[in-house]
Amino acid sequence: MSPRARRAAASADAFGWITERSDFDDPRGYPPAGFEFDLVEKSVRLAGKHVLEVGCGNGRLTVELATRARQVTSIEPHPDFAARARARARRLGLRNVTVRARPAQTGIRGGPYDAVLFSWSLC
Amino acid sequence: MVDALQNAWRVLRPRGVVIDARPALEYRPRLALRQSDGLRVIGDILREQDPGVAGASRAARQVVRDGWFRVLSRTRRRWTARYSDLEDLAWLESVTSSWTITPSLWKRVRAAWPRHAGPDPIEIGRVYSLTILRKQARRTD
Repeated sequence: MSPRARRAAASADAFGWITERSDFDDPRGYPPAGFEFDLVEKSVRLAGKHVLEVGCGNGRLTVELATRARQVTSIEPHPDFAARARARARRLGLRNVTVRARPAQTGIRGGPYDAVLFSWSLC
Repeated sequence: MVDALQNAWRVLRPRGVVIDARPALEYRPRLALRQSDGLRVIGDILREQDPGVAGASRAARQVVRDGWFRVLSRTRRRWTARYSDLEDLAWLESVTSSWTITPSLWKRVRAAWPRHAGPDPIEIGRVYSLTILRKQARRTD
C-alpha cells in the first residue's frame, strides 16, 4: 500500500472513530464553536436571522448557532451524522433547529435564508 | 464548489450572505512544546496545499469575479490545537494527508520532550480563514 493510500485508510478510520464518538467535538481538529461565531459576528449579526448550515456534521456548530440565530436549517450528507446532530439539538431543547440528511452541495434548496454557512464544508 | 455557491445565491434573500469558514490556504503549522519554563517552538510542520481548500478558494474568487457575490469581509485568525503525547501527534500526521512531520522534526520533538509533561504539552498553531460574501442583486454577465 502506498503512503498516500495508507493515510487515506487512516483518515477513513478516524472518520469512523469520530462518528462513534457522537457529539464529542474533537478539539484537536477544530477551533471552539464560540471562536468561529465571535469572528463571524464581527461582520454579520446573526440575531433574528434564518441560517442554512451546509454540512453540519455531528452538530458541532449547529447548537452554538441556534443560540445566536432565530432559525437554523442544517443539511448533512451523512445520515448517521444528521441523526446525531438532530438528537443533540433535541437533547439541548433547541426548538429552532431542523436537520435534514441531504447532499451538501445539491441539497441547497428551500429558503429564502438570510445566510448560508459553509463551515469547513465548501472545501 | 462553484455550483454550491450558485445554489446558495438562489436560496438567499436579497443582500443575504454566504459565510465560508475553513483552514487558511497558505500557512505553516508551528509545533511548540509547553515546558516548565514556558513554550518552546520546535519547528514547522510541512503542509502541502490541500486540494479541497484550494478548490474552495478558487470557487469563491470565481463567483465574485462573475458577479454573484461581493466580498464583505475576509479574515485570518491563528488558533492553537493541543495534543497530549507523541502518539497523538502520530495520529494527527496519519489523518492529515497534507501534513508531514519530517524525521528531523520528530527527532527534535523527542529530544525536547519535557521530563514532567503537563496535560496536552504539544501546541500546534493553525490558521483559520473566514470569508463573508454578500449576494449581489444583479449579475454582471
